[in-house]
Amino acid sequence: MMAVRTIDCPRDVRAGRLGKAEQFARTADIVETLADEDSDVRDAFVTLCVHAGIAAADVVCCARLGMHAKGESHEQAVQLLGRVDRSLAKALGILLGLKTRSGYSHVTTSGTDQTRAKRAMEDLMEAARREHGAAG
Amino acid sequence: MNFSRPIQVVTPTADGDVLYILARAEAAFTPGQVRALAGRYTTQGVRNALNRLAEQGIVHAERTPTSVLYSLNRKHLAAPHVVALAELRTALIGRLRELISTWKTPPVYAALFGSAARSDMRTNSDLDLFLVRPADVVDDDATWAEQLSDLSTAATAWTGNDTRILDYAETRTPVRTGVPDPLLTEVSTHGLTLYGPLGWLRMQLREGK
Repeated sequence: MMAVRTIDCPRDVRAGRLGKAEQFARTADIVETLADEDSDVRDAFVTLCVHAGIAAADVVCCARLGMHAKGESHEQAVQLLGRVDRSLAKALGILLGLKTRSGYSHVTTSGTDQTRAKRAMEDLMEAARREHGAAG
Repeated sequence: MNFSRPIQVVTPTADGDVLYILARAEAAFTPGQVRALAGRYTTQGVRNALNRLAEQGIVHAERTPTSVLYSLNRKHLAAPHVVALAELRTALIGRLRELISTWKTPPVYAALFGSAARSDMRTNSDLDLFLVRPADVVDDDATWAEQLSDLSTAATAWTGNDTRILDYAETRTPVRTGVPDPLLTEVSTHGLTLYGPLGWLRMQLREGK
């Protein structure tokens, strides 16, 4: 197994990542609310969920490991988060699995995937807020 | 108890805080990293605690060319108990959710908020619970009152902390009154949902603007 590339994160990095996670999550919520039909905005919504989830995962890793994943490897990010919480790692895996389809492909995200992305993001956001508070 | 330092329920020493950090990550740490995550103690103090725990076998010490890395020995007989202590907060949330889900008159929404949710509590902090009473349930409804009383008694027995319940009438919500309520912003920002859809609060905040 390849060693996970990481970067140390002091409190200000953790707080900054949480701020971004909140920003993406809030915007995802607005996008979802403003759309007349969910299908109009599914890809944008899921992409925002993915970004919120990635930032939230960084917060959790910072709080419990003192480091977060660095680089583009999705597998390594999931692996690192799995060291602290397997169910959160699964949630991140779901989001990263949807990233390409929602952001870079011509295929529209399905309603089921939209629901999965929302749930995964909410789980990660809740954990990020909790862990950030716990870490002080 | 203090959910940010749950192992303090059995030991008030650095050893408890050190075990808490090791139990919550399947990773190896240097004493300096443990100290940084704990946010207290000296590196030497943490090293001493780690070495005491290593003597007991609950902590595994691995010597590398540059340092010694410490991790929880998850095969140790005591490891499941240490992990369970480290996860007391999750256990509390699970129990609260379970109890509320059995109610004859369920709330519209429920959340843990305040210092326990923000994880900046002290040992003697209150447990703050936010419960939204359905519009068709009057404020002196006997079943509702009994549910709240049982919840308060149970939560205090589980933790040793006083429970403070905020009984919030659905008729007060911004969606119905058109008036924003800062309390809902606090619950939305730091609260942990115990019952009801996560989006309920966000909808209240949007409508109240």
